[in-house]
Amino acid sequence: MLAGPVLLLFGAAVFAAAWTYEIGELRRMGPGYFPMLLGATLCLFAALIALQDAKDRISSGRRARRTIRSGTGNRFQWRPRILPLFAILLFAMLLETAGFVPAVIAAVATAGFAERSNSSLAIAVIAAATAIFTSTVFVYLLGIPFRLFAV
Amino acid sequence: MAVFDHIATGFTAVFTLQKLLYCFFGVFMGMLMGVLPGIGAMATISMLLPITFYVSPDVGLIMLAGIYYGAQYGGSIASILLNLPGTPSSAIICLDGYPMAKQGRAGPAIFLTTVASFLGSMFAVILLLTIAPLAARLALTFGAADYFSLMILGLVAAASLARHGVARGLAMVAVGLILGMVGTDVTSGTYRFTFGLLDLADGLSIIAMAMGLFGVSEIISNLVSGAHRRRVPQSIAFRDLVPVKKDLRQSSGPVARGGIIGAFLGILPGTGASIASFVAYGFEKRISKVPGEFGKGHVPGIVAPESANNAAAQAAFIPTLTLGIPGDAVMALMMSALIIHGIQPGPTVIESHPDLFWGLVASFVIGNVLLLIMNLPLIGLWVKLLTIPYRYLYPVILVLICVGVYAVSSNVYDVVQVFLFGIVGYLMMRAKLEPAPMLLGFVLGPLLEDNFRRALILSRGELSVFVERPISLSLLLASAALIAFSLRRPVAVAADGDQSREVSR
Repeated sequence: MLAGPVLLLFGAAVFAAAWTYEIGELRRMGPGYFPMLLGATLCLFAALIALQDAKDRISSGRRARRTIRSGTGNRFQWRPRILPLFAILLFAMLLETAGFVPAVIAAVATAGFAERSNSSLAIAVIAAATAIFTSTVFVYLLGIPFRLFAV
Repeated sequence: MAVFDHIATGFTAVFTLQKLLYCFFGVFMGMLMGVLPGIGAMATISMLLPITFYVSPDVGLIMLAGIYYGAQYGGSIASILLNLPGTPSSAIICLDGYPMAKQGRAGPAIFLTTVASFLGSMFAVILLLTIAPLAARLALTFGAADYFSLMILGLVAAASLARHGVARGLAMVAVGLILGMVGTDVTSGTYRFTFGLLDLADGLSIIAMAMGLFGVSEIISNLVSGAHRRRVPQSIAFRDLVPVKKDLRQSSGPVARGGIIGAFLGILPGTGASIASFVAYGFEKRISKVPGEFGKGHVPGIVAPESANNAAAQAAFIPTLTLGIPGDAVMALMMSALIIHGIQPGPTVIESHPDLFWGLVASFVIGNVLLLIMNLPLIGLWVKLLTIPYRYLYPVILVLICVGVYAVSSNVYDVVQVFLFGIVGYLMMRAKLEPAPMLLGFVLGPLLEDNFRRALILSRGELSVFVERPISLSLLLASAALIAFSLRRPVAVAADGDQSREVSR
């Protein structure tokens, strides 16, 4: 349970960064004043969360340990966690360099492999169908100026 | 009677072929996407937002609104048939809807939720006709301090109804407010938190944020949990839909109470359809003579939340359009769509754009009648739709999200933002931090700062201005009471929320 500490760090960073802008005073606030307040506020709530989580962990410590042991059968699945995100990034990178169609196909294919039960053939069919569908709707019907192929 | 004038204005405005077509298209798409688990109103609105650039703002708004309430109708179908909520606001329907399906009563369950949706919506329409003009008139008397306190109330309301405790909710509100600071400070022109990137000068993209936090992280968690596998809906014939007399008798009270709860939470800025459905369920259970029946296919357990989420989805337009303060995360997106179209929501919208406002209300009536007529005969189609395996759908959804985000801004960095917020959204889900209060904070951040500054410039730095004005004082007291209330009894809905989540896994 890292939520509390991470948020605390984030709040502290915002609080510190706010001082690099002009703070001003209450009757004439500078651009740093409100962010400074928000950073401090976040720190407060984050500390509260950290406390609560610590309390919960102590009271349910025994139960938690047992569930961890019983959960060892499940391997950590990296595919469904990484591939959908990578597909988005790939789409962003390819859109203006390679064109709309390659970007769509690459993204569908990458995302498709996140699910083990998807066969390569199924993914190829979905990718082709999506490319045709989105080109028709967005480029021809809506007239959004995508370049279908940039190369 | 002013009400009849409004009705006349509305229907005159809405009866054009174009508006009726877009209304139909909106509710149909909303319904369709609502049925499919994993795509809610938010993703659908983002994907279809580019379409609205080619029509006038009132037509676009009618379509976007149709998606929102259409999705409320569709969402419960997947809940009932698959025990997998189609939209977040229909998650609670799983609890009693799925047991009904297992007893072979999926047909009546869908019939009853459809009718409950319709009645809840009509209740909200009546409120829009009567209360919205009053709210707008009241809002005209608001000063900067009052606006500030109203937004605080909205943010606190969103936070205190969060499922994992008020501290988590408030922290997410603060994070949202901070992210809202990114970009150019309107008063001084200073770039804040842009890290020297010119693409951040206009701030973060709300659509990218909404899609990353809700859409992408939802896909990942569905894939990881594997909840979408091994589910095949039973088929339903049209004649199976008819409920028995007892169902109807059991429904009338819960539908009315659900409508009232939904409309109230819809009007309150900061709370929307999802929260309304949970609260309505909890309320029915508490006042029921047979609380033990809930969770075993009890009819009030599906009709009350369904009536509530529809009433809330439409009542949420009251604060959004008359105060400029969005009711929930979807409304925040809707509001930014309006701003893209050059309409700044606020107390003057009803006066300055009566066709837009009353036309929208009239479109609610038409759209809901369409949904009521369409939903039941098309039941075969919805069941068919649910047989499409999720593993074929999610890559398409993901790409449509990317294309939609890019189409709105023509900026590839917005797609990169989807990627980043996708990571953040997934981590937040793991840490039991909810994205909805964060998105609301993000939208309200600049407004909150602006009104805070203005109030204090006017009062020459005296903080007492927030407690001297009666409106502001009462709003702040209400916020404090809400926090105190949710601290004392860690949210009545919390237990139900966890339960439904376990059921859906």
